[in-house]
Amino acid sequence: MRNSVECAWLALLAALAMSSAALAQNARPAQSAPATKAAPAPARDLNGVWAAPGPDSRLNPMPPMTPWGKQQAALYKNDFAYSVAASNDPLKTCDPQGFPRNILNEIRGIEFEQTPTKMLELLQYQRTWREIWTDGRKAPANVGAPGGPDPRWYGFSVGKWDGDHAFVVDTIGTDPMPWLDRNGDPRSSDLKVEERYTRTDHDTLEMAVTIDDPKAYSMPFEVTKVIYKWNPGQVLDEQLCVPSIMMNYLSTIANTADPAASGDGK
Amino acid sequence: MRNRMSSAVVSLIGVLVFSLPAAAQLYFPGGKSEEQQKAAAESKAKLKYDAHDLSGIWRAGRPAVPVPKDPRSGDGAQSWLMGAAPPPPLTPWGQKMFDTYKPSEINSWQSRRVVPAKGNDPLGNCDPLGYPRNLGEPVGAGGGTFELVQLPNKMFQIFDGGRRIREVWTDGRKLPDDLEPRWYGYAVGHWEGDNMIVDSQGYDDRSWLDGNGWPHSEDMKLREVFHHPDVMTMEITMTLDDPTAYTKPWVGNKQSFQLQLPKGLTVMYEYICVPSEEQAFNNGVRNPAGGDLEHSRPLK
Repeated sequence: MRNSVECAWLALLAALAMSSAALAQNARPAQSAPATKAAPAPARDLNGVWAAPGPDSRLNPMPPMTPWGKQQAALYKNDFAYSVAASNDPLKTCDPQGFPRNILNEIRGIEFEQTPTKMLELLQYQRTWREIWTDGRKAPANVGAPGGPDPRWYGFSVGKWDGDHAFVVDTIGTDPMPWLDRNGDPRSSDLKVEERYTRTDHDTLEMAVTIDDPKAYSMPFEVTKVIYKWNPGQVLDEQLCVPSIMMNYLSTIANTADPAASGDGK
Repeated sequence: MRNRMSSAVVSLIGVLVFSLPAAAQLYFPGGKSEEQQKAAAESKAKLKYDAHDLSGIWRAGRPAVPVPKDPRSGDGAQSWLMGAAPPPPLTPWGQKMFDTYKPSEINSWQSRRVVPAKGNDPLGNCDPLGYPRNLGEPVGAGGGTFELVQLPNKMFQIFDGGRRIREVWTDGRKLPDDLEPRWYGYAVGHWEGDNMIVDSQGYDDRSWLDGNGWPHSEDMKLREVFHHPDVMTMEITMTLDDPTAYTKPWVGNKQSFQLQLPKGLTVMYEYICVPSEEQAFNNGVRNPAGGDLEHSRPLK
């Protein structure tokens, strides 16, 4: 069985399609207490591969949504409340998670690598990447405006160090189409995201994510705080959602199980 | 209009849905604005040549090599990845796969090309391109754009097509013997003089070599030679050894890539094939156009 289809939000399909290696990795007790005290965190250095505690971030309670936010949320049918056939989660067809869902859902493993002008963040799930400019440039202020760049699935990100151990990333210009998270919480093109990565010791990286989207939520809020651990093997696996396999699963199993919800099963 | 490529199978569609960002402060591969040309000239003046420095964004554009005539069909059977070197004869298994694959990319081998509704290019569903195909896609955008990031123990090729990553270990480790096939395989590299030699294997055989539908098996081994002859140029020469699919190794010609300037400031495009959009387009346009009414549904 190939190590390729990893749309783990569909638990059944994931269990069927994941390789034994991937399953073993998912079973890893990432949050277990270290046997010995970790070395101090190096200064201004996040480089390396980090393991997530699980496939999803635990989300904090959210503030009230605006009327627009409620309207959007009502359109999104997640796979907690609906059958797979009835859900309209974009991930059901392997659509891109976009940002910030890719740091809230299917977080798995991440890798940071600093280059002279930017920090690269590499994500195990979908084997994708984003870039965070660290050379002092500003993110474009005119995204989506006439003459400006189009919104991006992964937005435009700039980062800077706050002291020696906290790296702060600000992102704007994201495509509003992807869901904010697996729950189907809304987000708009006005979304601003702050990520704060704090390396508390050599083996520990804390990620706190703050959402500021006045069109969708009544106030800014910290959506999650996740503790990543240093991955001793320093290797990212390959976890790809394969659309043709997902479509086959939907047509032969999910839609068959709930034909009314799926339309006609096609 | 979104800045993405929703379909690489039909390049024309890709061109239509892809809008060129016009923000002056952003520099993109191949950008021709006056401001970018000025910044590129300033950047170029500061570059110092180092044969072992492969870092930067590299772009081939397509076609970058002359298209030879195929003796069997009279049109282009070349694989862009192989620098137009002719393919060796296929094995019976390779021929079977070759006959099974039905290409539909707009600039694929004309005599093999079918309408997308009747094709089976994995890209038609936005399935992963895998490697080496990812090196040459997306076709409609000029193809072959990637950034190479060199680290002490490995180098990354990060592609605009699909926004995927390939890693090449350069820390002396060997390729493991027992490999679970992966879309992007396993790769190790080392320097021999001024050539970075990259050996890779362990590839998932569901990917095609290219849009022409040249096959490969899980036994495929690639040797790529990365050579950086001058400050603006990188060449990749690929040799493919797959005794399950080909009767002898396929020895490619060099393929050239140009450094994108200003170095360090150029931003790659975001070319992401979106499966739901692709399916809507298949159901609403390609399938009815190809006479497949069973799988046709109007676009919403």
